Amino acid sequence: MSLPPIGMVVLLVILLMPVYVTLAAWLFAEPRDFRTAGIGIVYMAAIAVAMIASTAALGVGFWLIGSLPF
Amino acid sequence: MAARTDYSLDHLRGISKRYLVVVAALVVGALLTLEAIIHQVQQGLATTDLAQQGTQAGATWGLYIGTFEWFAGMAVGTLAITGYIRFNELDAYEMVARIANIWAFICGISAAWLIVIDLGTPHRVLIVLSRWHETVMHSPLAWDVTFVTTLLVFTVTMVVLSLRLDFLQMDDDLPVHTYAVKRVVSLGATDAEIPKLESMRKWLGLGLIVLAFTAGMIPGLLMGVVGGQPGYFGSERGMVFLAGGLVTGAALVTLTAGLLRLRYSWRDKLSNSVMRGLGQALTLFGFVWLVVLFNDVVTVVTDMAPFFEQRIGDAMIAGELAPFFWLSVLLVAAPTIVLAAAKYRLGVRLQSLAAASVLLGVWVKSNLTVVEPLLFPNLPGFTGSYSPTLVEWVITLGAIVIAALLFVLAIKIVPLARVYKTEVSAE
Repeated sequence: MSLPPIGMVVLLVILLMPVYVTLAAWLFAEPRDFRTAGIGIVYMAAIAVAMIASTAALGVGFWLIGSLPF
Repeated sequence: MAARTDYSLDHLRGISKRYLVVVAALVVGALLTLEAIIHQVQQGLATTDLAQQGTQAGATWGLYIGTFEWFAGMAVGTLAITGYIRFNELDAYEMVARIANIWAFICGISAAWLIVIDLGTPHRVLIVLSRWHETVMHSPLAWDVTFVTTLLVFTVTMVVLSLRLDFLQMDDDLPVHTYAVKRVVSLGATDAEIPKLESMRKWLGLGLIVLAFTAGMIPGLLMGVVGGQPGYFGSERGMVFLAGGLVTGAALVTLTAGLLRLRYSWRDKLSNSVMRGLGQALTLFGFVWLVVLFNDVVTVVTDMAPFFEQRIGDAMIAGELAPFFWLSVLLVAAPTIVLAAAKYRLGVRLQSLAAASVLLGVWVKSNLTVVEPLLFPNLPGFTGSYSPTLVEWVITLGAIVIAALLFVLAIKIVPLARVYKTEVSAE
């Protein structure tokens, strides 16, 4: 039997554990309020997209600096 | 010094001459850093003293990665402090939670920034992103990128969520730039959601703690898995890193709270009891760091250590690296022992000084941890040397200057605690 790649285990079990804990508690802990929980999740997703996009933008910025003619 | 006073939003309004001088000095430092970065990006890592081990007798990682480890540690420590306060709903420490929360984000950004700088041609970050789905399957470096991204997302979410709740409970009398922040974080906010928001803030606090104590170890353990590298390989790397993170996180928050209290005299949100609590945390984590350090070092200084490990241990304890090693121990041990002996009643000034000393001590050790093993590779005839160049010093110290600048700007925009709505009483 072959084991799954170690990175898959680290990603799904360790790296994403705080995400599971937070999302499960937001949705199911008292008081139940799916509207507010939903707004929280939308904010979190928007922040995640913004972080990854700004990292990519930083890469493009450095690429431009590196190719300046002076 | 200002008279004793309660917290108000006055720190968001107006700009004092002293504040301008601080910002101007930090901006000059940031511009110098930018100049050094442009120089490095155009000339490549030849502008640094980083070189291959062995025949080139160099260290492949230096100040950038050492300071990355320090910033990443502080990010984990401040993350854990924020999470602990929010999860346990310790309202007396609400300002400390906000300070730690802002620092967790800034330290996370600074750590990520130094990694990008260390790539030499930093647009390689685009390759890191585009290959992530493959590399994350086997590379601890890719796990680290994932951890830092998660940390940034979680810290900003905590800032947003806690501010949303604070703004719902505060008067509208805000300066225009803070009002803009309120508009962004308060989309769709109603008073009816306060109980749910309090619950969500609490559970996000638990998320931060889980993040700090699981994925938070990755910047340390990514070195511990390198089997071919004496001095790195070992099962305790993650714990060593975590111990450094907790003590520097506590020190950074203690220093910041101390400086804010000296400047603004907020005796309600930064009371004597809160300051002593911070001193207690700093002392506890100081001792933890020393105990963990002892365990980390003891295996490489015994006669039974493998040859390559022993060379590192000898250099560290009594050889060329010893002055740095013992300096770092002294800078952490002395304030920790003094704080414990004084039962955390040193006063704000001395306690802030103790915190600064701890920060410096762990910074020295973080750099040693990275560089030591690289100078003594698995080749008996070779020992390396590493002397950071001016470019490296400017960019590294510049990262610290930029982090300070970001914090100084943040406290002009973001309220550090709640100021409750004026009660309509039956007067």
